[in-house]
Amino acid sequence: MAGMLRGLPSLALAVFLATPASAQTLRDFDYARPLRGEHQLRAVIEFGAGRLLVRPGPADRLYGLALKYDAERFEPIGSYNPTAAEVRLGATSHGGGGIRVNRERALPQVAVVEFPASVDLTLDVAVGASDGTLSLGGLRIAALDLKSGASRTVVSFEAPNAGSCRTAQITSGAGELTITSAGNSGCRSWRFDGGVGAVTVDLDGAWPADARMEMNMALGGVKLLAPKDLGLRVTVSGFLAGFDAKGFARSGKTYTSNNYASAKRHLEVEVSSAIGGVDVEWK
Amino acid sequence: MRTADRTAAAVVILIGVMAARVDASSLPHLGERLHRLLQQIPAALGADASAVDIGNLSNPVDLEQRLRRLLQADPKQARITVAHGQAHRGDFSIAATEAVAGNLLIIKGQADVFGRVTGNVVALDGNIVMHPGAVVTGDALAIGGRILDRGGVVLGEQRSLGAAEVVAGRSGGALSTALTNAAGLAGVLLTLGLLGFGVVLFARPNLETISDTVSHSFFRSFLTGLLAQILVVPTFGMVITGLVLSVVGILLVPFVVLVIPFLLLAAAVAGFLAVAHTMGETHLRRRMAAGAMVGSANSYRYLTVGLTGVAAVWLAWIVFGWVPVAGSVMFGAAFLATWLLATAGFGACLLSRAGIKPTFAGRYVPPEALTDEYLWATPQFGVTAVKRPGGPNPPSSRP
Repeated sequence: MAGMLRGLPSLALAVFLATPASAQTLRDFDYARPLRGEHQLRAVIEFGAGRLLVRPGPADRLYGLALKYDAERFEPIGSYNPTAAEVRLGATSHGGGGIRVNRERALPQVAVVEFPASVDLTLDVAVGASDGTLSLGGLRIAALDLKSGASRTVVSFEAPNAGSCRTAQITSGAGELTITSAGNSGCRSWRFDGGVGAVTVDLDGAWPADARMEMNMALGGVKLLAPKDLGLRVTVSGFLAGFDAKGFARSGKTYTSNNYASAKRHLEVEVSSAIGGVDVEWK
Repeated sequence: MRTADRTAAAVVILIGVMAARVDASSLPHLGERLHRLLQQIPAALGADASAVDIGNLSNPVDLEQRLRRLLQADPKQARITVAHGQAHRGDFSIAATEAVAGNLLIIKGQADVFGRVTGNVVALDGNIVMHPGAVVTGDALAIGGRILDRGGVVLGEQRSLGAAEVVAGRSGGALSTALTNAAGLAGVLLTLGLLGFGVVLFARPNLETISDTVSHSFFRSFLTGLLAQILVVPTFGMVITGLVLSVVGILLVPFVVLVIPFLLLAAAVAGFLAVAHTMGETHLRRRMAAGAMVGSANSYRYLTVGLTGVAAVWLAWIVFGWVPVAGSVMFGAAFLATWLLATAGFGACLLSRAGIKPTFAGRYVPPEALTDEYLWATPQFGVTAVKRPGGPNPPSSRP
C-alpha cells in the first residue's frame, strides 16, 4: 500500500505528459447573393466574439459574408427572407450562449460583411466580446441600430451617406465606442444608450441638415470632437454629470456654443448621465 | 422469393421500362444515363431509402451533419436519395447542352457545371465549378469545398462551408491547464489572504464575532445567507423604485446603485474570510487538544490554515480538471462546497451585523447566570438545579 502511494505522483505526472494537446476547429463560411434589382435591404448581423468588419462591397452582390468561426462553439448564420428583404448574417454560439472567457483559448474568429452602395440599407448589428469596425462610408444607410457589448467598436463614415438616414441608435455596454465623421452619416436623429464604457464621437463630416443627438449614459463619459463650423447646443442633466463649458454660453442646464448663431449646421445634444461627464473638444 | 431476388427482378423491369423511352439520338449518352438510372433505382424501389431534402440550404451545418451521418451508416451511399432531384457519387459533369431538372447532390466529388440546373446544387467534399455559360437557377452550396466562378451564374444564393481546419490548442494540454488553474486559484487565495490579514489587523473583533457566529450557528447562518441571496435583487429593486417614487430620493439613486453592491460584496468577502478563520481555528484547536505542537495560535494562522483548506477543496479540479466529464463534475463539486461556505459566511455577517452583534456567536450569558455559583460551574438551570434545595425554580409540588 505504501509503495502504491509512493508511486502515485509518478503516475499523475505520466498521465499529464501523456495527454495530447487540445485541438480546436476553425471553419470558413462564405455566403453571398447576387443583386437582382433589389433597392432596399435590412441586414441583421450578430457576432458574439472575434473581429467584425462591415464595409462596402462589390456592386453586383446584395450582400456577402466571409466568416472564419470556431466550429466547436459557434455556428454560422446566413439566411435571406426575400419577402421582408431581410438577411441575417454572423455567427451564433451553440445553445445560444457561451463564449471562451479565457482569451488565450479563444480562436481568432473573423467576419467580413459587405454590402453594395446602391441599396438602402437598414443595419441592425449586435456585437458581443468583439473588435468591431463598421466602415459605412459610401453606403446608403437608411437606419443604424448598433448594440455593442464588451467590445471595442469603431463606426466610421469616411464618405457622405448616399442615401437618407433616419435614425442611428447605439447601445454600448462596457466597451469602448468610437464614431468618426458622424456628419457624413446624414442621420438626423442619434440616440446613445451607454453603460460604463467610454464613447467618443467625432462630429466631423458633411452634415446635410441640422441634427439631434440624445445620449443616456450611466457611468461612462462622452467625448465630442466638434468641428469649428458646427453649432452645438448641449443640454446636460444628471446628478454628477459634469460638462466642460469652454467655448459655450450657459443658460441653466443648456450650453450654447459661441458659434451657434453663425454656424451653417446645428446639432442639439441632450446628455443624461448619472456620473459620467461630457467633454467637448473643438477641432 | 427472397428479398434480393425481388429487388433484382424489379431492377430488370425498371431498366426495361426506362430503356423504351431512350431514342436513338441519345445513344452516345446511353452509358451515362444508364449510370444515372441505376443510381436512382433505390429511390424508385422505395426500399428504406434515405431521402435528403436540399430544397432549403439556409442551415448548411445541419445538412452536412445529416449527410455525413447517412454516409457513415452506409459508406457506399447507394441509398441516399434527394427529394425532387438526384444524387451522384464522385466527380460529376453537366454538359453545355444538358439541362438537369430538380436539385442535384454530388457526394465526394467535384461538380462541373457547363449546362443548366433548374434547382439547387450541393457538393459534399468537393467544389462546384461554374464554367462559362453555366446556370444554376437555385442556390449553390459547397460543403468541404468552394464555389469557383469561371464565368457561370448562380441565380440564387451561394454558400460554401470550408473544410474544418484543426488549430492546435494554445493551452498546451493537461499540464498547462492544471498550471493555469493552479495559478488562478493561488492568485485568488493570495488576494483573499491579504484582505484577511488587513481585516485581522484593523477589524479583528468583528471578524472573530462573525467567525464565532458561523461556528455556533452554522445552519442559521446558512439559511440567512440563502434567504439574503434570494431577496437581494428584489430588495434592491424595491429600494430603487421607492427612491424614484419619492422624487426627493432620486438624488440618492446613484449612491445606492454604487453603495449597495459594494456593501454586499464586502459582506460576502468578510463572511468568506470568517468561514476560513473558523475552519482554521477549529482545525488548530483540535490538533492542540490532541497534544500536537502547532506554534502560536492566532487569527493570522487561523486564516492561513482555513484558506489552505479551501484550496484543498479545489485541488482535485486543478489536478484532474482537464478530464472531459469528471473535470466538470469536480469543478461543480468544488464550486458547490465554496458556495456553501460563502453562503454561511454571508449569512453570519448579516446575523452579526458585520461582527457588531454577538447574539448568535455563543457568547450570550444571561445575567442571572453571573453568580458565584456560576463561577463554580454549578448549574443554574435544568434538572440538577431544580433538584437542589432552594434552587431558582423549585418544582410546584414542593410545599
